[in-house]
Amino acid sequence: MKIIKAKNSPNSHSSLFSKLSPAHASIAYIYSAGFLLFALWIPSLWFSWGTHKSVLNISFVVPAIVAVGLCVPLLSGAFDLSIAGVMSASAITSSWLIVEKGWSIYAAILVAMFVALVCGVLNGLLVVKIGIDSFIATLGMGAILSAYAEWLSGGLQITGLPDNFKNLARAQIVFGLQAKVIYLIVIALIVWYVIEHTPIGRYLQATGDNRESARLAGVRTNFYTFGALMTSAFVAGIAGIIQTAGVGAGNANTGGPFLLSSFAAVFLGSTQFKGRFNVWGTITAVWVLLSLVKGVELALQSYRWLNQVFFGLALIIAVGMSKLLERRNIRLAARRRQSEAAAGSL
Amino acid sequence: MTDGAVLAVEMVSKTFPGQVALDQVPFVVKAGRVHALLGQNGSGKSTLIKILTGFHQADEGAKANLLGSDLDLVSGSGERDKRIHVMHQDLGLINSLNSVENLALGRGFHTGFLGRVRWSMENARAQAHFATLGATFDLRVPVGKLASSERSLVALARALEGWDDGGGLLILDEPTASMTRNDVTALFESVRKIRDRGAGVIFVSHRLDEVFEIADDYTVLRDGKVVASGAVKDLTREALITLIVGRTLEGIGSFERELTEQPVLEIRNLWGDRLEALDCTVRAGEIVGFAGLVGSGREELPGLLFGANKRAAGTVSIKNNSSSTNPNRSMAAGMALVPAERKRYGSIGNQTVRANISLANLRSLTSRGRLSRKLESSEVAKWADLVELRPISSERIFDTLSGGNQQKALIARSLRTKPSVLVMDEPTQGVDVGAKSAIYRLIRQAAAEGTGMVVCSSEAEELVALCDRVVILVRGRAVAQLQGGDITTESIVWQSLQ
Repeated sequence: MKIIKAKNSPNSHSSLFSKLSPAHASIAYIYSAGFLLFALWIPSLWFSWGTHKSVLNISFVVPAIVAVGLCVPLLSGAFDLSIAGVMSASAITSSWLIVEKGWSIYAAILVAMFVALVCGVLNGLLVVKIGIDSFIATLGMGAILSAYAEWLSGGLQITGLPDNFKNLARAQIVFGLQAKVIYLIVIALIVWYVIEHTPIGRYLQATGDNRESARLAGVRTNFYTFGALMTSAFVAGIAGIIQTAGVGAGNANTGGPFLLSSFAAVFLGSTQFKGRFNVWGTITAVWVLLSLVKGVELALQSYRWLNQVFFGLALIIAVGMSKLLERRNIRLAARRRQSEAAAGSL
Repeated sequence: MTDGAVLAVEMVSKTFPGQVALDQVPFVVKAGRVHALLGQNGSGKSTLIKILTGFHQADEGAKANLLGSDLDLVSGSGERDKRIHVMHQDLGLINSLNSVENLALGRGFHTGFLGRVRWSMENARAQAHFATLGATFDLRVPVGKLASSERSLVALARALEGWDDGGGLLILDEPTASMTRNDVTALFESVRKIRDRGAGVIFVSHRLDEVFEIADDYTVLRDGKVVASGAVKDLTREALITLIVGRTLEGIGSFERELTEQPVLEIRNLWGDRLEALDCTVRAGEIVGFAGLVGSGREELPGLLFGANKRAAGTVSIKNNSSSTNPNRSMAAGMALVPAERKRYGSIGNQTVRANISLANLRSLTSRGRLSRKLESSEVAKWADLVELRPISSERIFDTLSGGNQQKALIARSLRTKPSVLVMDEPTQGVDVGAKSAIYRLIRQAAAEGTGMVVCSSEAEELVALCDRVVILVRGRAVAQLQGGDITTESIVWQSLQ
């Protein structure tokens, strides 16, 4: 999946005006339109801090964390469809060890994170060493992990988690926000820094954009693909634990609902700000999508199918938009080369 | 229209932005004759073939007649006229399908009730069709499992599909480039059968012995113009080479310097897919060229040296450290590669020129792990200036640059790693004349600073202009080594064609 940068001229990247143009920040406009709609439709509910706080506390953090982790393999040109399975596996592993085996919560969390990391290593081996397409390898891996979670939990919710475990996610911090917001901020900052400000980010991006060119330029493409798949699995593992603590029970289908939302957010986010997979675009996309879902929920009171519709649409529109932009840029580049050639031959 | 001609074209010109590829070319193919179309790379012969097959459109004024009726080359729909049959160099077969299925792909399957393929009919037709070409192998085996000579027959059969009356035009576009001698013999037998049925055949090849073996007539193109045309029997091999080569490249001056004896690159008994037992030593500051036709092993040499492709056997050492089969470690050992086919193997096209230049050595631009945009920009600006990127446009998207600037940027990327050995594959592929001489200056400058240079090129003039020594590869073997004044276009072409 290649996404060509929307900016083409040398001075456009610096101007704030073009950064906020509809082509680069369309979700800001979508959000504004939605905001206005709900402000008129359900003013009392929409203008209450409680509404937005509940989005932040309940639905926002976990999909945002998964999506931020997913940015890394997508940037390197690899899909990771196993993230939902990894979340479920780490959720069930941690809650099973705590409730059924009476382990301390920290030991259980460490083991769950280790399980997630092992999943990432397996993905890496399948994709890099054996050479299975990442889409296929992680699809299979995800299914196996879901089965593992189902088997370990016996198909039942694991309840009876201690309060100190639940508080890892639910403890109140400022403005009534829960502790899990902190984890998102920390993970997002780390991924953002590595992607945008270290050579690793460049290597990942070069690998994703043209693997063979990157390899011949000396980039260890296999190493970075491997590392990217480990990262997304590890982050998904953390998200699984946070979700379990937030809900207060271990569920074998913890990850399921987050697969579509994270892909939708990452792809929609990739059309924002940078024209490629990026952390802030992704987080903004998660926020906008979930806020709008919340608004419609409050206004219509029927919501079971809403998430799916929103995220499905977002995914298709996002990828469609990037294809259109790509085609436009290819046309512009061709025209530019033609005029240069004409100027050169005069 | 000339009597007995299958195809007669005249005044065919083709102008690309900034370049005239064909200049008022006349070309006649007679019935029952094989006509060799000859010329060096860039002479215009592939452009002419592409115009005949509808891939390119000719400029206004081109006239063409095929089998007595007018053929429109100018406004063309982009489709090949059904009376022109083409066999391409890469054969274009689907390996997992069998011969019958490959045959049917081009024209569509014969279907019956509910769209069911009528296999018995397909099989019978294919049997009959292959029999006319003298094919005896099992048509129901997947094409990928056939011998290479049999595969080329399948490609030929497909080119001839639907050609019942025997007349018409067959174009063989370098079909023998990667064939063994036995395959070529088998192919030629079939081609002679077709010719004897009264067809006109255009044969494009770099191999002159094949031209003398199969062709009746010839046309030589040089710089987009026809320089000679006639019957092959009136021609000697030497005369033909002189016609193809024409003049040598001029205007970049001589390059005198003292070479040290210090070896920087030692190739010992190197084997690849085609390459066999190559031994070669490159000294510091020396420019060593490799010449050879398609299929001679020249194309795979850069990848083998750099460790990008698996070596079948042999060692490559850089300054006495043997390099592994891994580009990253080859670079650490002091080798860099500027690959051919920039778009596929060289550039990250949708990223900026800056990101492309800095990619090979980003660690030097970091402070405490953080990539410094300031350091990067000044470093890239310095290199853009050194390689004469004009205009200096490091924030532009790489794909929007001209071919010459793209190539300069990739050379900058490689030189930035301060290599002891720089391998360049087709260093001036797809660049204009001005950029060409700038790139030659860069190559000489790098050599003057002590880098050992390996230049693989299909352009003989390029090797003459640049190299201290030229190794000629023929069918995987180094057959000759030219030095100093012996390096001429004629000698390179002559040796390559052995």
